[in-house]
Amino acid sequence: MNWPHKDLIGIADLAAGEIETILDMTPSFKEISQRDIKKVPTLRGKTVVLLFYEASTRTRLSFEIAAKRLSADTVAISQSGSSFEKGETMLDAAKNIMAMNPDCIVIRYPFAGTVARLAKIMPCSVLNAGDGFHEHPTQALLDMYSMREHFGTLTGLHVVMVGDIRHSRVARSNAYGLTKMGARVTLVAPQTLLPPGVATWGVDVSTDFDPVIPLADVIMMLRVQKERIAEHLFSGDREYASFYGLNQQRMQRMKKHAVIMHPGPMNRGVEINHDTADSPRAIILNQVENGVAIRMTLLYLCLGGSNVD
Amino acid sequence: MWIKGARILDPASGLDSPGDLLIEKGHIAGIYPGGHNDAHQQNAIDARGLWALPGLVDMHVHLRDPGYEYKEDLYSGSLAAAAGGVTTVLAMANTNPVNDNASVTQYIVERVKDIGLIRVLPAGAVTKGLLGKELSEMGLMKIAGIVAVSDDGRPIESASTMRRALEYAATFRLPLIVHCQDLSLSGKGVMHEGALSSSLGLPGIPRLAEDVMVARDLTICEDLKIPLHITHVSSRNSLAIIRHARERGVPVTCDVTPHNLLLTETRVAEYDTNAKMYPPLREESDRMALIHGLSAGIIDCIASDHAPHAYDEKDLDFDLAPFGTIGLQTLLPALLKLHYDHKLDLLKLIAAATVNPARILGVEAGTLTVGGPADIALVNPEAVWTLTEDIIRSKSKNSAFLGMQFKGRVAYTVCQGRIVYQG
Amino acid sequence: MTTQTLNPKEIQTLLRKLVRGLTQRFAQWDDVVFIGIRSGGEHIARHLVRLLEAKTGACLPMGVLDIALYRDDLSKRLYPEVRPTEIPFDVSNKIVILVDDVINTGRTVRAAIEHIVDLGRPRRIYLLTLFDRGGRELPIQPDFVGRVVSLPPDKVLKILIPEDETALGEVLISEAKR
Repeated sequence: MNWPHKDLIGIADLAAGEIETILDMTPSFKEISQRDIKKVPTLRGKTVVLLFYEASTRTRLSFEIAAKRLSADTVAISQSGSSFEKGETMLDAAKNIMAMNPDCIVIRYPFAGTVARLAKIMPCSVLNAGDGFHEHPTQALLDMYSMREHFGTLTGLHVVMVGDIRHSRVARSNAYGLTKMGARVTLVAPQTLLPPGVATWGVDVSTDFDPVIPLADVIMMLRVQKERIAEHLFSGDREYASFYGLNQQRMQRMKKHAVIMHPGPMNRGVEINHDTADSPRAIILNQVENGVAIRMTLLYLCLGGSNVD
Repeated sequence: MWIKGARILDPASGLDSPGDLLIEKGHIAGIYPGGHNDAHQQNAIDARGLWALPGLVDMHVHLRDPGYEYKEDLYSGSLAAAAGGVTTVLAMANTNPVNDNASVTQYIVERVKDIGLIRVLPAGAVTKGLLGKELSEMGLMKIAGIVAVSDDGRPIESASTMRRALEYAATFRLPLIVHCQDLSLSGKGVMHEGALSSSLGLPGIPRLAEDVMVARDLTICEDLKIPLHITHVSSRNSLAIIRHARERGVPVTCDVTPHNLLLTETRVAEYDTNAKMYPPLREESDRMALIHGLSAGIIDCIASDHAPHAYDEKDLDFDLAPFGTIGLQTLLPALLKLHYDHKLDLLKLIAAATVNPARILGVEAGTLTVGGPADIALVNPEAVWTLTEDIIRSKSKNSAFLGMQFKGRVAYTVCQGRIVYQG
Repeated sequence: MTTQTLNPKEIQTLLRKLVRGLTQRFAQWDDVVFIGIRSGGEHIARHLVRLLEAKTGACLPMGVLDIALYRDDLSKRLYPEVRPTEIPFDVSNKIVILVDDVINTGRTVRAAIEHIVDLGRPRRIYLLTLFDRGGRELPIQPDFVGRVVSLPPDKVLKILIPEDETALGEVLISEAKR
């Protein structure tokens, strides 16, 4: 078997068969995290650099643990948001890192496009941990894995995503991935938080949450950031929670077997609350657990083997 | 000096004929369709196989001098223009210091005289410092040498300021050139807003950002009945607004850039910052509307909006890179591409970059007239070439057309009777 | 290309020989577990355990181990597919009989041992292989072997696992592909 990609920039670059391969391989890696000694020697001697230009505890931690469980060495670098604008560009920083010969760079960056550019000029593997509001492929993969783990398949599943779709890389990556895998996707948001041209993504769109709830197998809640109020994109938490929040009443109208997901971090009281986030329907912690396994799979695919042949 | 055997194309007079041209003391002394016997003199350019056009007039150019000479200066800009067959340019005022007073204007005029290559006509700022608040000293600047006023780079945000500026400029008989952009609508946008910007994860600039201001400014123009020129139209909607206004007799003229005529937003797909400019490259429907507008005479001029930026400035994340593409050297080739690929009438196209802008600016240029200045571009219409960095004469190489193939190349540029470029 | 085969009957004979060896060594089976290395060892282990249980009446736990993540030659060739290890018991304090179909260089067994000790601390590990074809690169020897077949490096010895896993299948000796 050959994995033809040096990097992972977006779900848009993966064929359905390749997504399938990743999902199929992940149980082997998940099993490692359940042992006493959570380590295999597979990536021994490989160096993985985590370059995070945006605050993120969860994704960074997940990647670090994944790499360490495969016996790779990790180094994490965090840059504050504004320093690179005036000082060293990300590309210069990356070139300096490159001179130290890492095997993989995992990047989270606030602007779209530059991670792809980096991947073109770097000989090592580049994994996108989120670039602006372009893509967050590992999140979508772990979300799809969690859904498939729960339901047995993705084909024919109806997944509803609710939130600031306009600025959500998670929504984009999931929409691309799920449609490729034969799921049906509905995006829900007020008109102002829907991206232009969303109809071309092969998804259904609704500005009304309630009618969609009893049709969903998965309801994934995304958060809305406060900055969007100043941009006239929504009026505030109270009204948002009232129309688009997943509360107890809405949860009761869900299909019996339907589940609740959230990529985190959650704004409790806005898009989700204690009744729903902590209910048995929510598989949010499974998502986190699966995140480590998915990232182990990807590190294995990109680093564990010869890419030259 | 004679120019012999060229196909002479002069839109102002409608002349399209092989012939000879005689140049004496910097002026055109004679135009001879069919040729002239004396044309076997020593001092002659053999122009057989070439087209002779009036030297182009580019009415929207940023030469960055004074203040940003690392991007471009009056000399390198002149070289670039000459290499593109452009003999007259209107240099915008967003320099540093802003050209909002006579002494900056004077600096430019004197420097250009020293350089002695092509004609650089300065535009003065409409408001002091381009801040949109106080009117600049338009009268004194006119005496110093400006031929028009514009705050280009920035819109005139306040409707009241726009109204007064139009009246004030008219007092000094200065054409006002306006950059239409509603800043609240363009926001943080960096490319055309649509399905592509969504999938690339880049904030978008909707057509509305231009349409809204075009509508506002035309309403003011209609009310005051004072001529207004709208530069770099990019949206099919604002073009429609302009067309309807013209039909009602509103005295508006407008120009479009070569890149909005030849390229679309798909040029941005690889996040190439050379394709980042304001107004942005839009959809194919906008491009086709602009081409039809040009052909129907609704769009009067083609102007490059030549906007040089240094390599390191453009080598940033797409969101952060400055807006702009250079265009002096590709103005004429782009024009020819429109003729070859879209079958637009040649004389009409040439007019859009010669006599039309000259007329709007009220300057003697853009025509081949006996007694007029000898500003002539000799073009090899068959030469096929590709734009690469080493061909570019500008200090900055940020062209949206890098790698594009063109047919038609400048062989000679003559300005005020002297050869200022030889290809 | 000369190929030799052993038919299921001959394999059955080897298995019985191994069963005899095991019953001679072990008087009782309380802490004995079998781990087969995927996929040839798994197949052999299953048949072995079935024969042993029939003979001794004991209940013998069995697990399957995948060494893909423990190979020492990952950076040199296209990586193999990874499947989960399935060992549904604790190996600590147990007597592990590690089963493979063929032992060659010994590297697969080394990887398997490393994997097992990551899962716990067995009291003892024995190695059982159906065939020993020689060609060792590490100091590892089986405790129980069905048959020693000395083969030059350009030959391959393979068990063909049939569709119906309850059948034994055949063994094929053929020229190596690379």
